[in-house]
Amino acid sequence: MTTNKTLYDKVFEQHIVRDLGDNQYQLFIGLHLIHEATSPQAFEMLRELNIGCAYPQLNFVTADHVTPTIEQVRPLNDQLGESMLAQLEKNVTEFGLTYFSPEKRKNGIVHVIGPEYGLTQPGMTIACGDSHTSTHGAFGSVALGIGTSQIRDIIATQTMVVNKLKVRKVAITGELAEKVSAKDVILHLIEKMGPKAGVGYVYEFSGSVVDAMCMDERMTLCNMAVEAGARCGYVNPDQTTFDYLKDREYAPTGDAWERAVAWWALLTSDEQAEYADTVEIDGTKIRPLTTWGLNLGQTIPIRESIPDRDFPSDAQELQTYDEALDFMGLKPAQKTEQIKIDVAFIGSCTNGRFSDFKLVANELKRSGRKVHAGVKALAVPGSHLVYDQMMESGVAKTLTDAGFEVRQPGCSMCLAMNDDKLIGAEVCASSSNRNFKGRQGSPKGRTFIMSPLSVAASAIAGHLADPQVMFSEF
Amino acid sequence: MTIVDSICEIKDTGIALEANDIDTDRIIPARFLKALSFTELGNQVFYDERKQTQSRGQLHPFDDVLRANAKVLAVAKNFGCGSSREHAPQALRRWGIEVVIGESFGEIFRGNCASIGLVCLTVTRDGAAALRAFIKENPGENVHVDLQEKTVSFGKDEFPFSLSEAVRERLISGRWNIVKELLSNKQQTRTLFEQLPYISDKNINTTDAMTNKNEKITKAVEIIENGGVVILPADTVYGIYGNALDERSVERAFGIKGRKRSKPLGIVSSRNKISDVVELNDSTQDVINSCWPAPVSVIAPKKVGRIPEFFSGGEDGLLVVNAQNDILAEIVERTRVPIYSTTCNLAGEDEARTSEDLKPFQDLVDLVIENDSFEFAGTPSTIVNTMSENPIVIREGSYPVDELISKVSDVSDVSVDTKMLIQ
Repeated sequence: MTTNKTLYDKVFEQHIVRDLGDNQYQLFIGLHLIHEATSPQAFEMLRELNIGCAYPQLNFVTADHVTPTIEQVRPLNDQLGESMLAQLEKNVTEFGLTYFSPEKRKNGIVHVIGPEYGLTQPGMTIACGDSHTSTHGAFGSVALGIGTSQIRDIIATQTMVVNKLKVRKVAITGELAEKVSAKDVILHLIEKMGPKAGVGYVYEFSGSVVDAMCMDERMTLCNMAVEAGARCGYVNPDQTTFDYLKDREYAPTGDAWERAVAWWALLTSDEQAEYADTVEIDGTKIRPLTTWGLNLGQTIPIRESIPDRDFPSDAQELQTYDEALDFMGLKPAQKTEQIKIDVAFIGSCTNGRFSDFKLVANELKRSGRKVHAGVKALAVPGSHLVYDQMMESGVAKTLTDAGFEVRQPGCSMCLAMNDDKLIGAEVCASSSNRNFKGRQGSPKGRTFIMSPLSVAASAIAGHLADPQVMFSEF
Repeated sequence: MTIVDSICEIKDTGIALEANDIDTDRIIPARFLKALSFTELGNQVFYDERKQTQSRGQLHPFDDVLRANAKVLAVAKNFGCGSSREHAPQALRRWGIEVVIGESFGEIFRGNCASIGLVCLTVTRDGAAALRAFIKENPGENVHVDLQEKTVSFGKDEFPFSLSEAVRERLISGRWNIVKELLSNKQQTRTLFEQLPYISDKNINTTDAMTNKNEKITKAVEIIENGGVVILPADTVYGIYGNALDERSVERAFGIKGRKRSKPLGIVSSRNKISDVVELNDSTQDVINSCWPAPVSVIAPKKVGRIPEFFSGGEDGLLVVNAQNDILAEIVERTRVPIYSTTCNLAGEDEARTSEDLKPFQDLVDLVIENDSFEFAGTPSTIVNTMSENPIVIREGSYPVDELISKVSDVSDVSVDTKMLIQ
């Protein structure tokens, strides 16, 4: 029974309804996650076509993009946001779907609550109208971000048209240094290979660094596989995966659990699996990083300076460099400690989980340091479960005492479809996932993407700061 | 905006955008994504850029009155990178663009274009540059896209384009509106759904799991016979196992445990195999025949000539444990050499019972088979010394002494001989 298949091959093949030719397949989607921002038009199209939901038991809904993080009370101040929530409620009732609502205190960032509820499981195909759906790949699933028309297709048929892609093995070996985390690993990969290197690929993350990661960290890694250009990313399931899922609300129980674990163990990529290519990264060499420009490839170790203008380049690369420098208000070779920040944001589907906040709280407690005067610091949990864990463990108190505002769960300042936005030309040290122009809500706002620990270090310093320095054991 | 089902050609004026890496947040800024329907999106395409260009006193191509009815958009590299949101192609489509032609595109963006019938064509770098130059210089001139001929023509130039055959066929036939196509396979969809393992665990082929287990067992046997070291679940904890006749393997086991050579390792065996490693005196035979398989370990006379000196270290007695779980039992049966057995722990530390505990050992051995099917017992085995005529219980463990007494003749009281306690 020895085969040479990757997990992607096995899961993909198991879900093929029909081969449509030209490498396109009608693929069954085992879990469809829906949120308020990309679904209204899909439901509208279904109404026009007079089609209902084919498999309601496989579609789950929540609200995360527009939900305010201060007081989730209806009606929202934001009229458009309020109408989106109202529309979502109408849609879930009409189409008969399970809704993790703010009213029931069951909502949160869709890519945080899916795993928490045990909905995300190894061996599934998962889709959601959001780019960072790849997060769920951390559990050994094939998790795809999709557009509104595909949301319509899945609700109507529980299938969609997908191309079969190649798999790149990304092996991260060695051991991470102190204060270096999964976020730095993925930023390092994107910087080394460029944000388009993964186009046409699915990424399989492996190696001793990944084996040692808890599920939250693996989710951070897979979350940003799309920013590396990949269609999605995954980690082979192992005991860490099974331990996370055990006893979760939608996870199998009893005999079914035993059989599930036995089946999940078989999904892992075969030893003789064939990959399109392999990339090896020495995890030991990774340092705390920050982006400095307008795409994620423009990244430097926080301890170094903004790149100087004299790098080998063609006219286009120079233009990209100049544009970034100009927009971000930076100078060639500028020291990072001169870059002041106005806002610090820890949260998002990338780094809004309990272990992210716990890590930061531990360092704040040990160092006794506080957020710098004049810096607005937000800690936004990804779900009510994360929030409750933060409260029970004292992590929330440590963060509050240090000057962070601990908020209610939601996407918050990652993409500013809610009240949390940058104002004017504010500079933000952020644990989210994109630094494009205007991303955080202000056309002139400037975003530096980094890990939660690096955000905390910067919040304390009032400027970009390296956690290896700020939190060095003393 | 009119939706035509069949798309065979587009002939109209164009707009050119020079920059690379135009991301979806620029095409449609995030704050416009709240709209519940796509109707307003057309007006909001490139909103921030157009405003900023205006404020600099310049003219953004999308604001150029001469291009207000353009249907062709010519771009450069990596157009539409960023978000999976369909709002970006929708905004372009609703503004009036019917075809985007460039050097390369964000993958999700390209997929979204296909699903809404916005034609998205890839041409060479030179072709893309020539097209943009033509459009910039000739705002009133048409660009002709022919989906059947697979060409883009403008002025005196003509370039081929690349486009997925399946997508091209769907645009031409009108089947780009995909829901109908997918709905036609309802029955196959249901059949597949019913067979998915996570839909019903009854679909899980446990023989697959068994085959997997079998493969691991075969591997373990091979490794042991070839002098390697493996970790397997024993009855209460994980154990370290290897070929008792292979000195290097035995040394590795000692090394892993940081253990003194004077404390010999045990042997794991079964009813069928025990005669290979011990002299079957009456005592030993009695206990084995009456009890095994059972968590009863014996200290029996080693088989001289079979068990090497380096293994037994001068001792006459050999501790032999009985394989309790099916993995260990299977391996014992299939391996053609005596297998040594010792608990998996570092010197002075607790024995490994969980995956977490096994982590420090992973790199030290050649194979680890984890326990995923039974609960480790809380108590270790009962040990019986069968060196002499009467069996002596050395340690009472999970096998009750009274049961032992009732089954085996002449069993003496418990006496603790610490030198022999080598578990």
